[in-house]
Amino acid sequence: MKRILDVKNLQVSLPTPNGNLRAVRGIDLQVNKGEMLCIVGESGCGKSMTSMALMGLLPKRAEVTAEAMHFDGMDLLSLSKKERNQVRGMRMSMIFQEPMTSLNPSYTLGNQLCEGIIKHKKVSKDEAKKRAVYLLERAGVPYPEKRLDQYPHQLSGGLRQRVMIAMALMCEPDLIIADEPTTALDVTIQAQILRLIRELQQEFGTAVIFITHDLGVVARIADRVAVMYAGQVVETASAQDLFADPQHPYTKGLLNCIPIPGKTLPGSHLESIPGVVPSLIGELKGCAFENRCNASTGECCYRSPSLENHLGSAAHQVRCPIATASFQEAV
Amino acid sequence: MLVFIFRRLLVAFSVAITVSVVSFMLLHLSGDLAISIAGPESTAAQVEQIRIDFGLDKPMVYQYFDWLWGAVQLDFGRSYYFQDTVMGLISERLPVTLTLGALALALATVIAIPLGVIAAIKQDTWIDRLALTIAVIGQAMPSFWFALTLIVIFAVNLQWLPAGGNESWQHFVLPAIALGYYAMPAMMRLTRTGMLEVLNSDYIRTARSKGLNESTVIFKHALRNAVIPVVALAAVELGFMLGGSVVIESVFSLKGLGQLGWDAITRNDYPVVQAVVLIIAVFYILLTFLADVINAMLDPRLRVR
Repeated sequence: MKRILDVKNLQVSLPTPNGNLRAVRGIDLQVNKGEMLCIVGESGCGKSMTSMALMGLLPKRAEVTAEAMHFDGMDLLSLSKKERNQVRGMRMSMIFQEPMTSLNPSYTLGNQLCEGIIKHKKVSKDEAKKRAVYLLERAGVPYPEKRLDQYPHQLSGGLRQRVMIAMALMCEPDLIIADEPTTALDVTIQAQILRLIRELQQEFGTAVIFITHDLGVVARIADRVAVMYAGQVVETASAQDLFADPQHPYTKGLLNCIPIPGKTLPGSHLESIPGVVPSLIGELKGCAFENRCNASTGECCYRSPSLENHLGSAAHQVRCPIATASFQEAV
Repeated sequence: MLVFIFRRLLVAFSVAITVSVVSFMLLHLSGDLAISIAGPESTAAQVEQIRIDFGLDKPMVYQYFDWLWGAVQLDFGRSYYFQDTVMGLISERLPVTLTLGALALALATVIAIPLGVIAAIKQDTWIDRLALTIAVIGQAMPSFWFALTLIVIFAVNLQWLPAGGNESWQHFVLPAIALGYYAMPAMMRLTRTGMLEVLNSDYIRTARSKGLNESTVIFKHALRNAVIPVVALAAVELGFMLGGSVVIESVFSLKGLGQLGWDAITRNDYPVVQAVVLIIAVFYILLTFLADVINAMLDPRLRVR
């Protein structure tokens, strides 16, 4: 399968009054053409930072470094500002978490849908509109022609997210990054939007990086999963493997937290992972999850584990020496 | 949009009526008019004669409608002090004030908006600091002092421009700068804050994610939203300049509406005071209406309200 995105050792840090906040601490990501990769993790684990770094949307004060950040053979980090603009929007696009505020209130939907394709692909206004209507229809927006002249405030949150999805597809991108696109929506709408993203992804053969904190969502749509904790990937596997055979104590903990209808008795205790995420300012000593881990041994406090193959397969990797029984010298 | 304009017009009209009542009442709040017109040495018979001559013996409501009927035909009667009709005085003074106000506002806008945008984009750099310093100086410096400084430099020493009067366009340059610099800081700061807020908004992130040029992001997506409160402020400031430019008008001996109002107040010239108050109020109302319409054109969400 063709690899569309290859990221090695991505690091993002932000200066704060208390020191450098190292939000992303060396992440490797590979995405194949037409694949759905889910990045899961709790708030503040760096998943949004990762997506913003991939898009090049982080504020200037953020420092982004990587050994490699290849998108379809291009090195994203060495592109000029103009070339980066061309790639972003035309070949990769983004769907955001907040449909209510992600559209400009002052312009018609048609204007906002069409401006990207008109700039990048030099198509005429009419062609752009035609494509917008087609995609709005595919995204399940009723009366698509009428919508072009409407303003964001005239639409509900669910509809606005459908518009955002259509917008992300306008230039036929190779990669869409969806950052918690269903989090701000009602549960019923959530399910519809998930199904829609999955359908369109398969229909157009677009690769999608889907960022979420919800393992239930992952189970429904993911091809592969990367579990993130404290700025690192702690486990990555195919969705099937991850749910059938989770290795990292954090992944297991997350899975334990999901109540299962019928199995979890009414009134019984809801599982949670005790403790809090460590501060990401400065260096972390030992395993980031050590203080919340029920399997931790003395060595976990001072040795930083690396991402190792599980059962000798690169398709399933775990950052836990107890799971893989291998140790790396502390960095 | 038409419904919106109609509604705003209705509001503007009712405000205008209210203002007309208030400005009419002003006259009668300051004691018996007939006595103050006749002067301290007049006899009771003279006062009575004046009461009848000026129609002050008729009921209030009658007097009001009589005055209003005149006002809508732009007939405000004669000045008690100047040997002219009120309308004659105003038509001579109003263009001066309007020219000054329009020039000053244009100058303030042309400087304030770009400066605000640049300051916001270059937040916390020396450019931003410089812009804020310029704004603080403009707000802190008394306008008459700045006006006098301008006269000393450009009229007295360099002799580039006249120091006072309103005969040619050159006479308006210095007053417009003085008044414009007074109006500029608030607009510039509002533009800057607005831009900072908008540039951090989600829809700007969306615009960037579409790979648009930075200039498209800033001018198309950000500025239009950031400038909405500035339009309202500009309308209020222009209204304020029309009524409140007395200081600048006296420093530059411009024969404007502000000075006429001031003269009329000190001389108990009530018909002139009434007319000036009403005309400034009507301009205020018109400007507010205009600002509402411009804002509704900029922001579609305002059109439904």
